[in-house]
Amino acid sequence: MSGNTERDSQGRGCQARLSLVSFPSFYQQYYPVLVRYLISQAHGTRFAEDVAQETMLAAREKWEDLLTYERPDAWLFKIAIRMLRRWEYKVRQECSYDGDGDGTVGDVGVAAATDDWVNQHVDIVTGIRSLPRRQAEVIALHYLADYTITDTAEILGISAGSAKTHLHRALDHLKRLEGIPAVSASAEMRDAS
Amino acid sequence: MITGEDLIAAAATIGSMPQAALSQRLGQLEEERRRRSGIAAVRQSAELDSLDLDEAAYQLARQHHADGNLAAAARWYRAAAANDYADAALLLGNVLEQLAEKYLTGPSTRASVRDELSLVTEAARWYIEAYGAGHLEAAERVDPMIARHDPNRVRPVPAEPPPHGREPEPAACEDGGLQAVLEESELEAAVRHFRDCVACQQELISHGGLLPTIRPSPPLDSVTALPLGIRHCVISGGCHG
Repeated sequence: MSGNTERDSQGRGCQARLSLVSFPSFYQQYYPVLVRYLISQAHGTRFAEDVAQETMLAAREKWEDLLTYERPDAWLFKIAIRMLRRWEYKVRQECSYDGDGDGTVGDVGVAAATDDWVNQHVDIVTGIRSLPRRQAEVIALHYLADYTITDTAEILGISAGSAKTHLHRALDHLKRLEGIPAVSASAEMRDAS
Repeated sequence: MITGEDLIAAAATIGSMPQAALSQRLGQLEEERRRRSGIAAVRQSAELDSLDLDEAAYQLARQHHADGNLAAAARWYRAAAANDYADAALLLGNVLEQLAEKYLTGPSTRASVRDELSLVTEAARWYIEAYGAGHLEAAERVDPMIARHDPNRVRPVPAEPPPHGREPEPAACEDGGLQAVLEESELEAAVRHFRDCVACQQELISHGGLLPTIRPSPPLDSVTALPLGIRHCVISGGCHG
Protein backbone atom coordinates (compact mmCIF):
# COMPACT_ATOMS: atom_id res chain seq x y z
CA MET A 1 0.00 0.00 0.00
CA SER A 2 1.23 3.46 -0.79
CA GLY A 3 2.21 5.99 1.79
CA ASN A 4 -0.33 8.57 0.75
CA THR A 5 -3.28 6.75 2.32
CA GLU A 6 -2.72 8.78 5.49
CA ARG A 7 -1.92 12.05 3.77
CA ASP A 8 -3.50 15.00 5.42
CA SER A 9 -6.59 16.02 3.49
CA GLN A 10 -6.77 19.25 5.50
CA GLY A 11 -3.42 20.24 3.99
CA ARG A 12 -4.84 19.69 0.52
CA GLY A 13 -7.84 21.81 1.49
CA CYS A 14 -5.55 24.70 2.46
CA GLN A 15 -3.63 24.29 -0.79
CA ALA A 16 -6.89 24.41 -2.73
CA ARG A 17 -8.03 27.52 -0.90
CA LEU A 18 -4.73 29.26 -1.61
CA SER A 19 -5.30 28.67 -5.31
CA LEU A 20 -8.58 30.61 -5.04
CA VAL A 21 -6.75 33.94 -5.14
CA SER A 22 -7.99 34.23 -8.71
CA PHE A 23 -9.53 31.96 -11.33
CA PRO A 24 -6.34 31.94 -13.48
CA SER A 25 -4.27 30.67 -10.53
CA PHE A 26 -6.92 28.03 -9.77
CA TYR A 27 -6.92 27.02 -13.43
CA GLN A 28 -3.14 26.77 -13.60
CA GLN A 29 -2.99 24.63 -10.49
CA TYR A 30 -5.76 22.17 -11.32
CA TYR A 31 -6.15 22.01 -15.10
CA PRO A 32 -3.02 19.89 -15.69
CA VAL A 33 -3.97 17.33 -13.02
CA LEU A 34 -7.59 17.25 -14.12
CA VAL A 35 -6.95 16.78 -17.84
CA ARG A 36 -4.31 14.09 -17.26
CA TYR A 37 -6.54 12.31 -14.79
CA LEU A 38 -9.31 12.34 -17.42
CA ILE A 39 -6.94 11.17 -20.16
CA SER A 40 -6.19 8.13 -18.01
CA GLN A 41 -9.95 7.41 -17.76
CA ALA A 42 -11.57 8.33 -21.05
CA HIS A 43 -12.04 6.23 -24.16
CA GLY A 44 -10.81 9.14 -26.23
CA THR A 45 -8.22 11.85 -25.54
CA ARG A 46 -10.32 14.53 -27.20
CA PHE A 47 -13.20 13.49 -24.99
CA ALA A 48 -11.03 13.98 -21.89
CA GLU A 49 -9.86 17.42 -23.00
CA ASP A 50 -13.42 18.52 -23.74
CA VAL A 51 -14.68 17.38 -20.34
CA ALA A 52 -11.75 19.08 -18.58
CA GLN A 53 -12.36 22.37 -20.39
CA GLU A 54 -16.13 22.12 -19.89
CA THR A 55 -15.65 21.52 -16.16
CA MET A 56 -13.28 24.46 -15.89
CA LEU A 57 -15.81 26.60 -17.74
CA ALA A 58 -18.44 25.56 -15.19
CA ALA A 59 -16.02 26.52 -12.42
CA ARG A 60 -15.48 29.88 -14.09
CA GLU A 61 -19.24 30.49 -14.31
CA LYS A 62 -19.80 29.77 -10.64
CA TRP A 63 -16.53 31.18 -9.40
CA GLU A 64 -18.21 33.31 -6.69
CA ASP A 65 -19.88 30.20 -5.23
CA LEU A 66 -16.67 28.19 -5.50
CA LEU A 67 -14.90 30.71 -3.28
CA THR A 68 -17.14 29.61 -0.40
CA TYR A 69 -16.49 25.87 -0.86
CA GLU A 70 -14.38 23.97 1.64
CA ARG A 71 -12.84 21.80 -1.10
CA PRO A 72 -13.24 23.44 -4.52
CA ASP A 73 -10.79 20.95 -6.04
CA ALA A 74 -12.96 18.02 -4.90
CA TRP A 75 -15.97 19.71 -6.50
CA LEU A 76 -13.99 20.02 -9.73
CA PHE A 77 -13.16 16.31 -9.86
CA LYS A 78 -16.66 15.29 -8.81
CA ILE A 79 -18.22 17.28 -11.67
CA ALA A 80 -15.67 16.13 -14.24
CA ILE A 81 -16.06 12.46 -13.30
CA ARG A 82 -19.87 12.56 -13.43
CA MET A 83 -19.79 14.42 -16.73
CA LEU A 84 -17.39 11.88 -18.22
CA ARG A 85 -19.46 8.96 -16.90
CA ARG A 86 -22.58 10.35 -18.55
CA TRP A 87 -20.89 10.94 -21.88
CA GLU A 88 -19.21 7.55 -21.88
CA TYR A 89 -22.36 5.75 -20.78
CA LYS A 90 -24.12 7.24 -23.81
CA VAL A 91 -21.25 6.11 -26.02
CA ARG A 92 -21.41 2.58 -24.56
CA GLN A 93 -25.15 2.42 -25.26
CA GLU A 94 -24.62 3.51 -28.85
CA CYS A 95 -21.53 1.39 -29.61
CA SER A 96 -20.54 -2.17 -28.80
CA TYR A 97 -18.93 -2.39 -25.36
CA ASP A 98 -15.14 -2.58 -25.32
CA GLY A 99 -14.67 -4.28 -21.99
CA ASP A 100 -10.98 -5.13 -22.12
CA GLY A 101 -9.85 -1.63 -23.00
CA ASP A 102 -7.57 -2.71 -25.86
CA GLY A 103 -9.32 -0.26 -28.14
CA THR A 104 -8.05 2.68 -26.09
CA VAL A 105 -4.33 1.94 -26.42
CA GLY A 106 -3.94 3.50 -29.82
CA ASP A 107 -5.55 6.72 -28.63
CA VAL A 108 -2.97 7.07 -25.85
CA GLY A 109 -0.49 7.78 -28.63
CA VAL A 110 -2.59 10.79 -29.65
CA ALA A 111 -2.38 12.15 -26.10
CA ALA A 112 1.33 11.36 -25.91
CA ALA A 113 1.97 13.34 -29.08
CA THR A 114 0.61 16.53 -27.53
CA ASP A 115 1.41 16.12 -23.83
CA ASP A 116 4.92 15.48 -22.49
CA TRP A 117 3.69 14.02 -19.21
CA VAL A 118 1.54 11.45 -21.02
CA ASN A 119 4.45 10.71 -23.36
CA GLN A 120 6.70 9.96 -20.39
CA HIS A 121 4.05 7.78 -18.70
CA VAL A 122 2.38 6.03 -21.62
CA ASP A 123 2.66 2.69 -19.84
CA ILE A 124 0.85 3.98 -16.77
CA VAL A 125 -1.90 5.73 -18.72
CA THR A 126 -2.39 2.61 -20.86
CA GLY A 127 -2.43 0.39 -17.78
CA ILE A 128 -5.05 2.51 -16.02
CA ARG A 129 -7.17 2.68 -19.17
CA SER A 130 -7.18 -1.12 -19.28
CA LEU A 131 -8.84 -1.30 -15.84
CA PRO A 132 -12.60 -1.50 -15.25
CA ARG A 133 -14.08 1.98 -14.79
CA ARG A 134 -14.45 2.15 -11.02
CA GLN A 135 -11.00 0.67 -10.41
CA ALA A 136 -9.46 3.16 -12.82
CA GLU A 137 -11.22 6.05 -11.09
CA VAL A 138 -10.09 5.01 -7.61
CA ILE A 139 -6.46 4.32 -8.46
CA ALA A 140 -6.03 7.52 -10.48
CA LEU A 141 -7.71 9.72 -7.86
CA HIS A 142 -5.69 8.16 -5.06
CA TYR A 143 -2.28 7.97 -6.70
CA LEU A 144 -2.20 10.49 -9.53
CA ALA A 145 -4.46 13.22 -8.11
CA ASP A 146 -3.18 12.45 -4.60
CA TYR A 147 -6.48 12.15 -2.73
CA THR A 148 -6.85 10.10 0.45
CA ILE A 149 -9.07 7.02 0.38
CA THR A 150 -11.72 8.95 2.31
CA ASP A 151 -11.65 11.86 -0.16
CA THR A 152 -11.61 9.46 -3.11
CA ALA A 153 -14.68 7.66 -1.77
CA GLU A 154 -16.43 10.99 -1.16
CA ILE A 155 -15.74 12.21 -4.70
CA LEU A 156 -16.99 8.96 -6.23
CA GLY A 157 -20.02 8.65 -3.95
CA ILE A 158 -18.99 5.21 -2.64
CA SER A 159 -17.99 3.90 0.77
CA ALA A 160 -14.35 3.95 1.89
CA GLY A 161 -14.45 0.15 2.11
CA SER A 162 -15.60 -0.12 -1.47
CA ALA A 163 -12.87 2.32 -2.56
CA LYS A 164 -10.23 0.17 -0.82
CA THR A 165 -11.53 -2.95 -2.54
CA HIS A 166 -11.34 -1.28 -5.95
CA LEU A 167 -7.84 -0.01 -5.13
CA HIS A 168 -6.57 -3.47 -4.19
CA ARG A 169 -8.06 -5.04 -7.30
CA ALA A 170 -6.61 -2.29 -9.50
CA LEU A 171 -3.12 -2.68 -8.03
CA ASP A 172 -3.29 -6.46 -8.45
CA HIS A 173 -4.37 -6.02 -12.05
CA LEU A 174 -1.58 -3.53 -12.82
CA LYS A 175 1.06 -5.74 -11.20
CA ARG A 176 -0.03 -8.67 -13.36
CA LEU A 177 0.05 -6.68 -16.60
CA GLU A 178 2.40 -8.15 -19.16
CA GLY A 179 3.88 -6.39 -22.12
CA ILE A 180 4.00 -3.08 -20.28
CA PRO A 181 7.42 -2.52 -18.71
CA ALA A 182 7.70 -0.96 -15.27
CA VAL A 183 8.11 2.81 -15.20
CA SER A 184 11.49 2.55 -13.53
CA ALA A 185 12.77 0.31 -16.33
CA SER A 186 11.42 2.72 -18.94
CA ALA A 187 13.12 5.60 -17.19
CA GLU A 188 16.43 3.77 -17.19
CA MET A 189 16.12 3.12 -20.90
CA ARG A 190 15.38 6.79 -21.53
CA ASP A 191 18.34 7.84 -19.34
CA ALA A 192 20.64 5.47 -21.20
CA SER A 193 19.59 6.84 -24.57
CA MET B 1 4.04 -4.57 -14.40
CA ILE B 2 3.12 -1.28 -12.70
CA THR B 3 3.47 -0.80 -8.95
CA GLY B 4 2.23 1.78 -6.48
CA GLU B 5 5.71 3.31 -6.40
CA ASP B 6 5.57 3.84 -10.16
CA LEU B 7 2.27 5.64 -9.79
CA ILE B 8 3.61 7.89 -7.01
CA ALA B 9 6.60 8.76 -9.18
CA ALA B 10 4.28 9.70 -12.06
CA ALA B 11 2.13 11.82 -9.74
CA ALA B 12 5.15 13.91 -8.75
CA THR B 13 5.13 15.70 -12.11
CA ILE B 14 1.46 15.49 -13.09
CA GLY B 15 0.82 19.13 -12.14
CA SER B 16 3.57 20.51 -14.39
CA MET B 17 2.58 21.92 -17.76
CA PRO B 18 4.38 24.49 -19.91
CA GLN B 19 3.14 28.00 -19.10
CA ALA B 20 2.50 28.77 -22.76
CA ALA B 21 0.16 25.78 -23.14
CA LEU B 22 -1.71 26.69 -19.97
CA SER B 23 -2.11 30.33 -21.00
CA GLN B 24 -3.36 29.28 -24.42
CA ARG B 25 -6.03 26.98 -22.93
CA LEU B 26 -7.10 29.56 -20.38
CA GLY B 27 -7.45 32.07 -23.22
CA GLN B 28 -9.58 29.57 -25.18
CA LEU B 29 -11.79 29.10 -22.13
CA GLU B 30 -12.35 32.83 -21.68
CA GLU B 31 -13.06 33.19 -25.40
CA GLU B 32 -15.56 30.33 -25.25
CA ARG B 33 -17.22 31.95 -22.24
CA ARG B 34 -17.60 35.29 -24.07
CA ARG B 35 -18.96 33.58 -27.17
CA ARG B 36 -21.59 31.54 -25.34
CA SER B 37 -25.15 32.76 -25.59
CA GLY B 38 -27.42 33.15 -22.60
CA ILE B 39 -29.27 29.97 -23.56
CA ALA B 40 -26.04 27.98 -23.67
CA ALA B 41 -25.10 29.26 -20.21
CA VAL B 42 -28.51 28.31 -18.81
CA ARG B 43 -28.24 24.89 -20.44
CA GLN B 44 -24.85 24.35 -18.85
CA SER B 45 -26.17 25.41 -15.46
CA ALA B 46 -29.12 23.01 -15.81
CA GLU B 47 -26.77 20.17 -16.74
CA LEU B 48 -24.65 20.87 -13.68
CA ASP B 49 -27.73 20.82 -11.47
CA SER B 50 -28.86 17.56 -13.04
CA LEU B 51 -25.57 15.94 -12.00
CA ASP B 52 -26.74 16.33 -8.40
CA LEU B 53 -29.94 14.46 -9.24
CA ASP B 54 -27.96 11.24 -9.72
CA GLU B 55 -26.76 11.43 -6.14
CA ALA B 56 -30.23 12.36 -4.87
CA ALA B 57 -31.78 9.39 -6.70
CA TYR B 58 -29.11 7.08 -5.31
CA GLN B 59 -29.65 8.27 -1.72
CA LEU B 60 -33.41 7.90 -2.09
CA ALA B 61 -32.95 4.37 -3.42
CA ARG B 62 -30.68 3.48 -0.48
CA GLN B 63 -33.35 4.73 1.91
CA HIS B 64 -36.12 2.68 0.26
CA HIS B 65 -33.80 -0.33 0.11
CA ALA B 66 -33.11 -0.05 3.85
CA ASP B 67 -36.85 0.23 4.51
CA GLY B 68 -37.54 -2.91 2.48
CA ASN B 69 -39.52 -1.12 -0.23
CA LEU B 70 -37.85 -2.93 -3.11
CA ALA B 71 -40.08 -1.63 -5.91
CA ALA B 72 -39.37 2.00 -4.99
CA ALA B 73 -35.67 1.21 -4.46
CA ALA B 74 -35.49 -0.31 -7.96
CA ARG B 75 -37.13 2.78 -9.44
CA TRP B 76 -34.57 5.18 -7.97
CA TYR B 77 -31.56 2.91 -8.43
CA ARG B 78 -32.57 2.75 -12.09
CA ALA B 79 -32.38 6.55 -12.32
CA ALA B 80 -28.92 6.59 -10.71
CA ALA B 81 -27.59 3.58 -12.63
CA ALA B 82 -28.66 5.11 -15.95
CA ASN B 83 -25.90 7.67 -15.40
CA ASP B 84 -23.41 5.14 -14.05
CA TYR B 85 -23.55 6.62 -10.54
CA ALA B 86 -21.44 4.85 -7.88
CA ASP B 87 -22.48 1.20 -7.37
CA ALA B 88 -26.13 1.80 -8.35
CA ALA B 89 -25.95 -0.81 -11.14
CA LEU B 90 -24.84 -3.55 -8.73
CA LEU B 91 -27.47 -2.65 -6.14
CA LEU B 92 -30.17 -2.42 -8.82
CA GLY B 93 -29.29 -5.89 -10.06
CA ASN B 94 -29.51 -7.14 -6.49
CA VAL B 95 -32.91 -5.52 -5.83
CA LEU B 96 -34.37 -6.82 -9.10
CA GLU B 97 -33.11 -10.32 -8.25
CA GLN B 98 -34.85 -10.08 -4.87
CA LEU B 99 -38.07 -8.96 -6.56
CA ALA B 100 -37.85 -11.97 -8.90
CA GLU B 101 -37.36 -14.35 -5.94
CA LYS B 102 -41.00 -14.09 -4.87
CA TYR B 103 -42.03 -15.81 -8.11
CA LEU B 104 -40.08 -18.94 -7.16
CA THR B 105 -42.64 -20.06 -4.59
CA GLY B 106 -45.82 -18.36 -5.73
CA PRO B 107 -48.43 -19.88 -8.07
CA SER B 108 -47.65 -19.73 -11.77
CA THR B 109 -49.72 -17.87 -14.31
CA ARG B 110 -48.81 -16.60 -17.74
CA ALA B 111 -48.51 -13.06 -16.38
CA SER B 112 -46.32 -14.12 -13.45
CA VAL B 113 -43.94 -16.02 -15.75
CA ARG B 114 -43.64 -12.95 -17.96
CA ASP B 115 -43.00 -10.64 -15.00
CA GLU B 116 -40.42 -13.00 -13.50
CA LEU B 117 -38.48 -13.29 -16.77
CA SER B 118 -38.60 -9.55 -17.24
CA LEU B 119 -37.10 -8.97 -13.77
CA VAL B 120 -34.39 -11.61 -14.26
CA THR B 121 -33.46 -10.22 -17.69
CA GLU B 122 -33.13 -6.70 -16.33
CA ALA B 123 -31.20 -7.88 -13.26
CA ALA B 124 -28.74 -9.74 -15.52
CA ARG B 125 -28.31 -6.64 -17.65
CA TRP B 126 -27.40 -4.49 -14.64
CA TYR B 127 -25.12 -7.17 -13.18
CA ILE B 128 -23.19 -7.17 -16.47
CA GLU B 129 -23.02 -3.38 -16.37
CA ALA B 130 -21.72 -3.54 -12.77
CA TYR B 131 -19.13 -6.15 -13.77
CA GLY B 132 -17.92 -3.83 -16.51
CA ALA B 133 -17.52 -1.09 -13.91
CA GLY B 134 -15.30 -3.31 -11.77
CA HIS B 135 -17.68 -5.12 -9.41
CA LEU B 136 -16.32 -8.59 -10.08
CA GLU B 137 -18.83 -10.27 -7.75
CA ALA B 138 -21.65 -9.23 -10.10
CA ALA B 139 -20.57 -11.82 -12.69
CA GLU B 140 -20.91 -14.60 -10.11
CA ARG B 141 -24.55 -13.72 -9.52
CA VAL B 142 -25.79 -14.05 -13.10
CA ASP B 143 -25.54 -17.80 -13.81
CA PRO B 144 -27.05 -19.04 -10.52
CA MET B 145 -29.86 -16.50 -10.87
CA ILE B 146 -30.71 -17.60 -14.40
CA ALA B 147 -30.56 -21.27 -13.36
CA ARG B 148 -32.94 -20.66 -10.43
CA HIS B 149 -35.44 -18.88 -12.63
CA ASP B 150 -35.47 -21.45 -15.44
CA PRO B 151 -38.80 -20.87 -17.24
CA ASN B 152 -39.19 -24.65 -17.78
CA ARG B 153 -38.92 -25.57 -14.11
CA VAL B 154 -41.82 -27.29 -12.33
CA ARG B 155 -44.04 -24.64 -10.80
CA PRO B 156 -46.91 -24.78 -8.33
CA VAL B 157 -50.31 -24.52 -10.03
CA PRO B 158 -52.83 -22.08 -8.59
CA ALA B 159 -55.40 -24.02 -6.49
CA GLU B 160 -58.50 -21.95 -7.30
CA PRO B 161 -59.22 -18.84 -9.27
CA PRO B 162 -59.17 -15.79 -7.05
CA PRO B 163 -62.61 -15.04 -5.54
CA HIS B 164 -62.56 -11.45 -6.76
CA GLY B 165 -62.55 -12.77 -10.35
CA ARG B 166 -66.22 -13.83 -10.15
CA GLU B 167 -69.11 -11.56 -10.94
CA PRO B 168 -71.21 -10.80 -7.85
CA GLU B 169 -74.70 -12.34 -7.89
CA PRO B 170 -77.30 -9.72 -8.87
CA ALA B 171 -80.13 -8.93 -6.50
CA ALA B 172 -83.28 -10.99 -7.20
CA CYS B 173 -86.01 -9.37 -9.28
CA GLU B 174 -88.44 -7.56 -7.01
CA ASP B 175 -91.36 -8.33 -9.37
CA GLY B 176 -90.81 -12.10 -9.39
CA GLY B 177 -88.67 -12.58 -12.49
CA LEU B 178 -88.90 -12.09 -16.23
CA GLN B 179 -91.90 -14.33 -16.80
CA ALA B 180 -93.94 -12.70 -14.04
CA VAL B 181 -93.13 -9.21 -15.36
CA LEU B 182 -94.25 -10.13 -18.87
CA GLU B 183 -97.44 -11.68 -17.61
CA GLU B 184 -98.43 -8.97 -15.21
CA SER B 185 -97.20 -5.68 -16.72
CA GLU B 186 -98.12 -3.55 -19.66
CA LEU B 187 -95.50 -3.63 -22.43
CA GLU B 188 -94.08 -0.17 -21.72
CA ALA B 189 -93.85 -0.89 -17.99
CA ALA B 190 -92.20 -4.24 -18.71
CA VAL B 191 -89.63 -2.58 -20.98
CA ARG B 192 -88.88 0.05 -18.31
CA HIS B 193 -88.46 -2.66 -15.71
CA PHE B 194 -86.25 -4.74 -17.96
CA ARG B 195 -83.97 -1.75 -18.60
CA ASP B 196 -83.16 -1.46 -14.89
CA CYS B 197 -83.41 -5.03 -13.56
CA VAL B 198 -80.09 -6.91 -13.82
CA ALA B 199 -81.71 -10.18 -12.66
CA CYS B 200 -84.17 -10.07 -15.58
CA GLN B 201 -81.38 -9.16 -18.02
CA GLN B 202 -79.38 -12.20 -16.86
CA GLU B 203 -82.49 -14.37 -17.13
CA LEU B 204 -82.94 -13.18 -20.71
CA ILE B 205 -79.34 -14.05 -21.52
CA SER B 206 -79.79 -17.49 -19.98
CA HIS B 207 -82.65 -18.01 -22.44
CA GLY B 208 -80.29 -17.29 -25.31
CA GLY B 209 -81.55 -13.74 -25.76
CA LEU B 210 -85.12 -14.82 -26.50
CA LEU B 211 -88.04 -14.05 -24.26
CA PRO B 212 -89.76 -17.09 -22.73
CA THR B 213 -93.04 -18.05 -24.34
CA ILE B 214 -95.99 -17.76 -22.06
CA ARG B 215 -98.05 -20.91 -22.06
CA PRO B 216 -100.88 -21.46 -22.32
CA SER B 217 -101.56 -18.90 -25.05
CA PRO B 218 -103.58 -15.93 -23.97
CA PRO B 219 -107.32 -15.87 -24.69
CA LEU B 220 -108.33 -14.56 -28.09
CA ASP B 221 -109.87 -11.36 -26.73
CA SER B 222 -106.68 -10.29 -24.98
CA VAL B 223 -104.60 -10.98 -28.09
CA THR B 224 -106.81 -8.75 -30.17
CA ALA B 225 -106.21 -5.98 -27.66
CA LEU B 226 -102.48 -5.98 -28.40
CA PRO B 227 -101.23 -2.93 -30.30
CA LEU B 228 -100.19 -3.99 -33.81
CA GLY B 229 -99.47 -7.54 -32.67
CA ILE B 230 -96.26 -6.54 -31.04
CA ARG B 231 -97.13 -8.18 -27.79
CA HIS B 232 -97.64 -11.48 -29.60
CA CYS B 233 -94.13 -11.32 -31.02
CA VAL B 234 -92.66 -10.50 -27.63
CA ILE B 235 -94.53 -13.13 -25.72
CA SER B 236 -94.15 -15.98 -28.20
CA GLY B 237 -90.45 -15.37 -28.58
CA GLY B 238 -90.53 -14.51 -32.27
CA CYS B 239 -92.58 -12.88 -34.94
CA HIS B 240 -93.99 -15.11 -37.63
CA GLY B 241 -95.16 -12.54 -39.98
